[in-house]
Amino acid sequence: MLNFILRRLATIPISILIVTAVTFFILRLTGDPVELYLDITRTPEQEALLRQELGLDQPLIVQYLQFLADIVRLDFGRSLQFQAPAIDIVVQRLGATFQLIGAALVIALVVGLVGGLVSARYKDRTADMVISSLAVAGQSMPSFWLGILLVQLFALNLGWLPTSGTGGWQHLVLPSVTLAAFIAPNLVLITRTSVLEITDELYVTTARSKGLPRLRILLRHILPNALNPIISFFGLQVGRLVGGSVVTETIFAWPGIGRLMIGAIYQRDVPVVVASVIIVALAIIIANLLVDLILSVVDPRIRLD
Amino acid sequence: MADPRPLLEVRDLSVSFRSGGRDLRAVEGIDFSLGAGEVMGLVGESGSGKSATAMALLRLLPDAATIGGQILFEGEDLAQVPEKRLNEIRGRDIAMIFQEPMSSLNPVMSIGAQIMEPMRFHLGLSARDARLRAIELLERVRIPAAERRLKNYPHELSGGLRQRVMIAMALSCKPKLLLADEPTTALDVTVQAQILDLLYELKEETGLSIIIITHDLGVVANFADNVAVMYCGRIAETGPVSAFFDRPGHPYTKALIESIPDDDTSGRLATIPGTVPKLTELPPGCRFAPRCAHSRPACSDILADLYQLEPDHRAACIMPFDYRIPDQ
Repeated sequence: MLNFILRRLATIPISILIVTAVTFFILRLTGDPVELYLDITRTPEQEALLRQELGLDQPLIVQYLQFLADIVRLDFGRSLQFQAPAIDIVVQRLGATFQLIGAALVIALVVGLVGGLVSARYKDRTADMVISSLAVAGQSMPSFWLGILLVQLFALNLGWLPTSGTGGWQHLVLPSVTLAAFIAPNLVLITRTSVLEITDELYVTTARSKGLPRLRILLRHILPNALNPIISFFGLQVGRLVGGSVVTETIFAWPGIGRLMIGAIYQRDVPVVVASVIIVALAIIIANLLVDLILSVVDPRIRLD
Repeated sequence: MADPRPLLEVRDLSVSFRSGGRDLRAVEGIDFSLGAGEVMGLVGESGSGKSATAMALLRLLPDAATIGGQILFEGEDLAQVPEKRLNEIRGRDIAMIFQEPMSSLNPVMSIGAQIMEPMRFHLGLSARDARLRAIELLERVRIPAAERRLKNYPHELSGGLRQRVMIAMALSCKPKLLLADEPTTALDVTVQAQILDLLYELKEETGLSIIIITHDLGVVANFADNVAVMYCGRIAETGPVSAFFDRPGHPYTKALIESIPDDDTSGRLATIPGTVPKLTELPPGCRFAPRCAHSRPACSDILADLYQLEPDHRAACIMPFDYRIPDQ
C-alpha cells in the first residue's frame, strides 16, 4: 500500500510537467505578454526594457525552464488585478470551492446511490420507470440551465433561498444542487446497472439461501460488490465537477476558484490563471489517487503493490 | 414416538420459465420423499432439471420462474409460505451448497463474517459467540489454522477450502436438510473424495438429511440411500440404491450405469447416442425414446407415468426391463 502511494506520488511531477507545458505554450500563443503590462502609449524603449526584465528576450525554452523553476518555488508572480501574489489569491478561494464541491459530492452520492438502488430493486416497475426517466432527463439537461431554473423557482418565485453569494447554509443549497446535477443522473444509472449485474451473481443466491432479509442482501452482499464501477466513475468525474464548478460559481457568484479563473482569463491575469490551473490539476490528481485507495479498501481483491 | 411424516415430501413439483412470451416447463411431475437422516441422490445430465428442482425447493429461482405443486417440509408447504417465513427456514432448517465454490462466496466479505452471518441472524448469537462457533465449524470441516482463516477473503483460498467454508456455513445453524448441488463437480478428483467423505461424516454425526445433486453415479452408489434419475425435467426412475444399480427398470438408467467407466479398460466405453433435447424441441411421447435402444412405436405415443416395479422402486417406462407392468 505505502509502496503504491509513493509510486503514485512520484508520478505527480510528470503530470504537472505536462500541464505546465501545455499552459505555458498556449499562453504564449495567445499574445505578447508585454502588451498586457504596458498601455497604448508605450515606447519601443520601454518595451525592450520590460522584455529584458521579464526575460522575454531569452529563447523560448529558457523562458519555459525559468517558468518551471518559478512554479517549483510556488512563485507564480503577482496578480495583475489584485496586486498580490497569485498563489495567495488562489489559495484564499480554494476553501469556497472545496465547500461547494464537497456538498455537491454528498448530494450526488446520496441521490445516485439511493436512486440507483431503489431503481434496481424495483426493476421495470413504476419506481424504476420514474427514477430512470428522471435520470435520463437530468443527463440530457444542461446543468447551468437547471441552475437558472432553480434560481427562478426557489429564489425569485418562492423566495425560500438566496439567489447568489455566500453566507449561511442557505446560500450553499442551490449551487451545490446545481453542481450535483452534473454527475448525479449518471451515477443513478451506473448504480442501477451495476447493482442489477451483481444481483445475478451466484453469491447473491448463496446469501438468499442463508435466509437473509432482502435489505441486508442488498446492502451487505450486492452494494459492496457493485461499488467498484461506481467509485471508478467518481474518479473520472472529478474533472467534470471542477469544470462544472466554474459554471456554477459563475451563475451563483460563488467566490471560488472557478469564478476566479474565469475572471482572470477575461482580465488576462496570467499569473492567477497559471496558479489556478496548476492547483486544480494537482487537486484532480490527488482525488484520483484517493479513488484508487478507496477502491482497494472496498475490494480486497485489488492489490495495489 | 418418532414423527411418522417424512422430513420432506415433494408432490407434483413443476418449474416453468417464462421466456419469449411462453412458458417452458423445465421440471414437471416430480414426486419424492425424504426421511430424517436419509441421503437422496438426484441424478441427471446437464439440462435435466435437477438443479432447477433443488433451487425450487428453497424458491431460489429467478423471478421469471414459477413453481407448481407442493413442497412439504415438516408438513409446511414451502411453495406457499410467505417470504418472511421462508427466510426463517432458509439457512436454519434447510441449507444449500453450490457447484461453484469459486463464485458462491461473496468476494468482498471475509469468510468469517460470511459464516457468522446466518448464526447471528437465525440463532441471535452475539458477535463473540458466533465467532467462537465459526472457528469450531472451520475446525470441524478440517480447515487448518481456523482462527487465522476467519479474516481471509475467498480469493485467498483454494477451491477445496472454499467448498469446506460453504459446508461450514451451511451447517452453522444445524439444519435438518442440506441441498448439495453438484458440490464436487468443480473440484479436483482427490479433493472431491475428501469433500464427500466430509459430508458423509457430518451426516453420520448429526443425522442430517442430504439431497445430493450430481451427474456422477459413482457418488450416488457410495453415498446415497435412494436415488432419482431425471431426464428432460421428469423423473425417469427412482428407488433404493441397491435396486437401482442391480435391477434398473428404465433403459435410460441402464444406459447410464453401463456408461460408468470400470476397471476393465479393454473394450469401448458404452455411450448413449444423441443429446438431451432442448425444452423447446421435446419429442412426442417418451422423451428418451429417440435415443433409446429399446424403443418401440408405442413409445412415441405415451408419456409414461412412474410405474411401481417393486416397493419404493418406480420407473417411467412402458416396458421396463425384467418387470411386468400391472394392467393400469
